[in-house]
Amino acid sequence: MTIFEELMMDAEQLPDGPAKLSLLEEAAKIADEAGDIHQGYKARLEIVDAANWSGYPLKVIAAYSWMLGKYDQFPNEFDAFRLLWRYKWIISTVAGFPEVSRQQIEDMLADMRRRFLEHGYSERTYLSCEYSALLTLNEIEDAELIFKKFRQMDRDGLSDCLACEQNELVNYYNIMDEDELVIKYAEPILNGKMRCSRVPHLTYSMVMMPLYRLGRIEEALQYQKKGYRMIRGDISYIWGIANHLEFFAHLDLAKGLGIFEESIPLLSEVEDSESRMVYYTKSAFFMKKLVEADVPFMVKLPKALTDQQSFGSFTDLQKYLVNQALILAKLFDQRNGNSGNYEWLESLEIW
Amino acid sequence: MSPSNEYRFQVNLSGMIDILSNHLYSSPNVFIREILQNATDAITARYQHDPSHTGKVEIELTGGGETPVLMIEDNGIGLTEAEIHEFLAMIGHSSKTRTDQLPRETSSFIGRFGIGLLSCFMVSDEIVLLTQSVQGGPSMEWRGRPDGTYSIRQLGSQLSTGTRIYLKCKPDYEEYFDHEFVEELIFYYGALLPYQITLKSEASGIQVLNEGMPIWLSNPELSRTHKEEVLLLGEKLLGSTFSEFIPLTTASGKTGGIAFIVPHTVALNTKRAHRVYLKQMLVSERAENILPEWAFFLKSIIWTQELQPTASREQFYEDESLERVREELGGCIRNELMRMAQTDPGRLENLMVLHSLSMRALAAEDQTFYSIIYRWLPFETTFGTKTLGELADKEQVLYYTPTVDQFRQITHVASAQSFLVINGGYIYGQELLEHFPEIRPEVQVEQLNPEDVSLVFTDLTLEERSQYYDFVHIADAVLQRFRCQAQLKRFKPNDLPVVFIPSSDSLSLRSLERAQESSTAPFASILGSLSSIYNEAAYSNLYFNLDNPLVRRLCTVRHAEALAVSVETLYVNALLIGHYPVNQQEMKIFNQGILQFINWGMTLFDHKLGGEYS
Repeated sequence: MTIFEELMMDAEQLPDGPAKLSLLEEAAKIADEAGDIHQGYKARLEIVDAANWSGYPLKVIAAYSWMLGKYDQFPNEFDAFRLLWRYKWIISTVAGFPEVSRQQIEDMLADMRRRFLEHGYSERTYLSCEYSALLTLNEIEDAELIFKKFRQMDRDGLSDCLACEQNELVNYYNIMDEDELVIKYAEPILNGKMRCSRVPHLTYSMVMMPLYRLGRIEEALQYQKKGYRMIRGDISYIWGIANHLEFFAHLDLAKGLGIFEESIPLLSEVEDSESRMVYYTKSAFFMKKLVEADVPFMVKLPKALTDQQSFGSFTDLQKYLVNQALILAKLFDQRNGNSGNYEWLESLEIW
Repeated sequence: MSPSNEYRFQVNLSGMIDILSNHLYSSPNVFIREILQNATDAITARYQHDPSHTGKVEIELTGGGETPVLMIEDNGIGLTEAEIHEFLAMIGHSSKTRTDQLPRETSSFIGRFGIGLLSCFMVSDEIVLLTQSVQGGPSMEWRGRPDGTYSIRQLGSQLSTGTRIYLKCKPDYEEYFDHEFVEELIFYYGALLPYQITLKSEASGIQVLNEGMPIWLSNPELSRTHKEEVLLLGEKLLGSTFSEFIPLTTASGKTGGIAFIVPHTVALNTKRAHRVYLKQMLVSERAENILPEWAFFLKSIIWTQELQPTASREQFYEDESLERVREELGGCIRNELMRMAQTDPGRLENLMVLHSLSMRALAAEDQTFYSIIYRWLPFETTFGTKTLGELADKEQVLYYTPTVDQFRQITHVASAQSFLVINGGYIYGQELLEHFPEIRPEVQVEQLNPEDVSLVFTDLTLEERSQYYDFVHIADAVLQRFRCQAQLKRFKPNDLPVVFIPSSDSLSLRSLERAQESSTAPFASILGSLSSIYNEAAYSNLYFNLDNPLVRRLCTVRHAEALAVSVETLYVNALLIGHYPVNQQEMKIFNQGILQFINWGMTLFDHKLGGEYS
């Protein structure tokens, strides 16, 4: 067996994450050194998947760009469907970096649309990506229109699985603040009728606050318990973990503090700025509640954080988190050309 | 709803049989399991009448090549005429009982009996059952057919207590009546049944098929003194040769067994297969959920009296009692490994080598386990392979690199200076090392950033600094366009002229840049934007070794072009030696540099030769 094959086989046995990615990257490097584009492509296909599911968006983008470049150079050598399928992940990934301009996102969407149509797919999947990009760009009204258009079209081969689409529906009503509709559409996921490898992990974190607001606290707690177990320690779900912090800010500060201690070290691994912003914002909100409740300052903080700055109180931490959230919100707002993120932070009253 | 508008729908029996054979059971093989189960239940029920009763099951194959007939006879409790009618009624009723949780208790023995018998129609078009109840009354004969009709009659003679079933082979199902097949299946399902099972045939006479449950299996702690027998049964039941095993028991004493250590490396995503016997009868050989996830380097034989099988009877219900059992059995494995660590560390060490991936995965996930076995975990270091125990005993601070590449890049520098560095780049290495202080708080673990290696470089004296200031200045300017700085130091080994030390960000940046080179327009532009994330922090360093003769000479070169080409060429050379990806621009520079040197060399050569001969 060649070293390439050995690395690929070892990688196959591992769960998605840094260990697997380092083997795959090594394999890609060996393929490149040997000038073998097929092996290089094969390794990168795996990198895109593993990095996407374990929360390393820059790796996703780098590997995917390479693949797309090779595909354009040798269109008959590689499978188009598998390539296009992954394009869906790229749009929202790319939009999560404020360094990428609005124009660049729009160009990429146009490129995606052209490719999908050229390969005989309908506009539907493209619309779902446009919708998610518009959400990140904070163009909520446009997003709403596109979402409706997307839901009216027939599914095709590039559509996400039914459970994922249902989950997106739940997310949509979450954004629209329609608590009752959130619960209604989450129902088939919550009762186990719809599921896939990514659902219901995040669904649980999306129904906790609506249930709490509807006074259905027992259910909310039950889903909190189930949901947190599925996503704890996983940087690709950091956004969902932030929701658990928000939930416990209202309900149980001690439990929330445990989640904060467990999740704040993860942040140094999170590349994507949008997720970081959400986490900083919701944990700042949580800190504020700790300060208000006058909880004694006893918290385990990661070295990466205390190296930067020393913290003597929860107020210090709150200030730090607010500041980080604001820096990112400002970057995004500049890129987006609106003030949506700043307004969101303000509405949550995190300072 | 009034009873007058309640109806009963008809169940088509042959349709049911089809459903059973195609959906509920994985293959017709299960008819053997079902008739054995019926016999077992009947014998168990009789024990409750008469605890001194000795149960037995006799199976006979007759009919040779013509139409084979399988007869199975138990000396269990038997059925009365009323019970026979009842169990047939129960077949129709079975849809009313919770089929996903087939009750196994003796109280519902009859209901269960009916369903099990149905599976015989998968291989036979007629079932004949002769029975004599322990409660007395006449002996009865029942004949059932797959269309759902049956006849029943009293026999003239009195049979001994128990039940006898005759199955006549259906055309095309002969292989299920094959002697070897029947023998194998009976052993397969019934090897641990606590009564004797014999198989009789014209060809082979009478054979005893099982030996019951060995004492060391019902009391697994005893297995340690029956090693040979244990390994033999493992081989017989699990089909591989083992040399090591771990006894399993729960505190309640209601679950137990033997976990055999697989003698070869097992892939992490291999389906865990454990053979589980419920009340001594095989339920499943694919039970994945009875041991913890991480126990995939084990194959086990487990018996239980406390768990509920699912409808397909191949798994157990994920409920609290399963969770408890799984935790306790996992505890047994952990304790055994701990025991091994104390009494027989060599064995544990072998185990670590063989199942290193699983051990690492488990340790990364489970701190208690990690704290037990860390001592034997091997790591590659600049001083060769060492176990984490050795390292922790000797060093106060453990330095490691997070990737294999970084390890390779600094290994020659570090080892020449007797600097111990651990390669944390292999699977789970980094995770394990990072969490190490949690189990050995007195040991510090530091990730070695490549730039830290410069700590072991010797700085120049002030004099040297001013002496070589020009060289460093020029080299720095040359390297600027690679976002690299020149540093002049002294370090070992002397024969190494330069070392390239990237910052971790500069590595990520390099990979983005390489992707950019080969991508299409919208992507290339985005990659360009993303590179800006790294730009500021991404300065790497090229260290020149003043102890190296070549570098010494280089420092005195006054020819600006020659110096620039040398620095550039050494830079790319350092990248290549360090296994760093080289981009197109750098490769071009390297090639041009070589050509330039050849050119200069030739010129010099011409010049000299010309001088001598002219």
